[in-house]
Amino acid sequence: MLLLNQLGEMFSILYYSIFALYLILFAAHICGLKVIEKLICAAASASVLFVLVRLYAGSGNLPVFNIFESFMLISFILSVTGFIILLKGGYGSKVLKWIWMENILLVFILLAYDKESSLRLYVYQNNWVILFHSFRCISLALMLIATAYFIQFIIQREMDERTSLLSHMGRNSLLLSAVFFLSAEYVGTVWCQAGQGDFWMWSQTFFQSTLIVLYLMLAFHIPGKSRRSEDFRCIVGGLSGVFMLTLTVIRSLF
Amino acid sequence: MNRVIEKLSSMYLSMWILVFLIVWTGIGLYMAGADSYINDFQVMNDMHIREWLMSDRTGSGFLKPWFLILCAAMTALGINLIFCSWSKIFKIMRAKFNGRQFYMLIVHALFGFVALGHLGGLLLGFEHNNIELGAGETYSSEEGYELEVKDVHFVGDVKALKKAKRYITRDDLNRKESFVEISISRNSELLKTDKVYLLKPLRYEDVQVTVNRFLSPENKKKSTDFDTGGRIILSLSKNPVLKMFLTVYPVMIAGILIYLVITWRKPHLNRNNVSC
Repeated sequence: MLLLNQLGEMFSILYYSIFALYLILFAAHICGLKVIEKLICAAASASVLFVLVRLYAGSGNLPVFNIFESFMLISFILSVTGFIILLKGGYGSKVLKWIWMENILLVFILLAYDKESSLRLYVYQNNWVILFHSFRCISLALMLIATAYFIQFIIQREMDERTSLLSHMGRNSLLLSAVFFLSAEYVGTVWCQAGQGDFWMWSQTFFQSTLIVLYLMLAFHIPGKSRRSEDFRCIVGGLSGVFMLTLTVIRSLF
Repeated sequence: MNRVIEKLSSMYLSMWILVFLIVWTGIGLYMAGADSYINDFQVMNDMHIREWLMSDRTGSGFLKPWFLILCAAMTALGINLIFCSWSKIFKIMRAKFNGRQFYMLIVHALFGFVALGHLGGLLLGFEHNNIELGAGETYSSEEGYELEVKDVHFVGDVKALKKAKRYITRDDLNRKESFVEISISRNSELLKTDKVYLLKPLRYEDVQVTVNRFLSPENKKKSTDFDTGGRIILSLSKNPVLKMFLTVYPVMIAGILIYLVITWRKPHLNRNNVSC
């Protein structure tokens, strides 16, 4: 019990440190302090990685199950992606402020949750269950990256025609996110079949998954080649990350 | 006639059906959490959908009309997919189609098969859930299958089985050493005997016997003369399209991934290519 309390305290301290690092990172970006931004980004990524390793060491579960673990993992993916964009420079760096804001949002949401590892549930040893949760996390991270690209495209497109590349990168991220989400659905089907004897069960979690699949289908099926259609496509694509994030938070409440 | 076909194959129709399905699934999400519908959804899960539709246990509320409208909307999406694909095939024949669009057509066709797999899972085969048995007990289904539990071997803390399934930990239950020995026979002919674990069902052709959970002695719903204390909840199901579904689904995902790889660059060619 004492060990658990100590671990919980350590996660809380690390959590607030990461929150502070993300705020400084965002400020450094706004002020255009590139070197400091790179350093803080590296420090934040390393801190999140440390939390993930400690979470794994503490419970023996991959850090993908409860909301604290999964948001930390998603935050890590976003930080590393941001760091790569920072190193590469170019047109992509314009999306960084949105990625840093998304990281702040993720960590802010975690204020309301316990900073602890998931329970050592017996189902978390099953490979299908591990893959299901891992793919979900990766999918949400990619959806948030897509959101960053689409938002920047919507804001910027009046200024520069080259910004269509932003829309294309948003579309790529969203499509990759769909691949991971569908993979999660597939392994979830196998899990449900092995555990319940059927493809799926009519439940809130099933409806939430179906809503995300339908939303992704909608994002890729908006017709027309006019500017209005393209704007609408980008808005729907841009909201995908917010949509899945909201459903993930709602799901964690049950 | 051409005008009707054009409307039925329209992407605007796809979009509006998807919008409707999002709203309708949202209503389903709300109902699944509402106290007045939780039991109705439980009944829906416990039975095969075909039987559920025919039975009088569909609940008194909005669930049955909701489900039928959901099916109707999915059918409309299927019709739209068929007409959309058909018009694309015509374009291919007139050589007005590029390779990427042809590739996306194949992915859409695979999606059609996945949707058919879902439909097949709903309509074909059978499903019997919540079968409570102990060692030495048998269960006979109306399809002629008979299950016999030969042994219930539980390793863990029996008291912990009173917890909800989602809270049972590795300290409470040793999943790799807890098993149930079950034999399945049909019309008195023994088909298979095997050890069945949680998340590791017994399969014989398309028939599956799944151990859903171990019960603590306090959870007994009925008393038996030969009760050894170990009881389980089982399900017996048959889904003849399961293998097809589980094969086509990853092929569809791989198809989308390959499409993404081949269209990763060259944004000037990609606009609207993802769509039907």
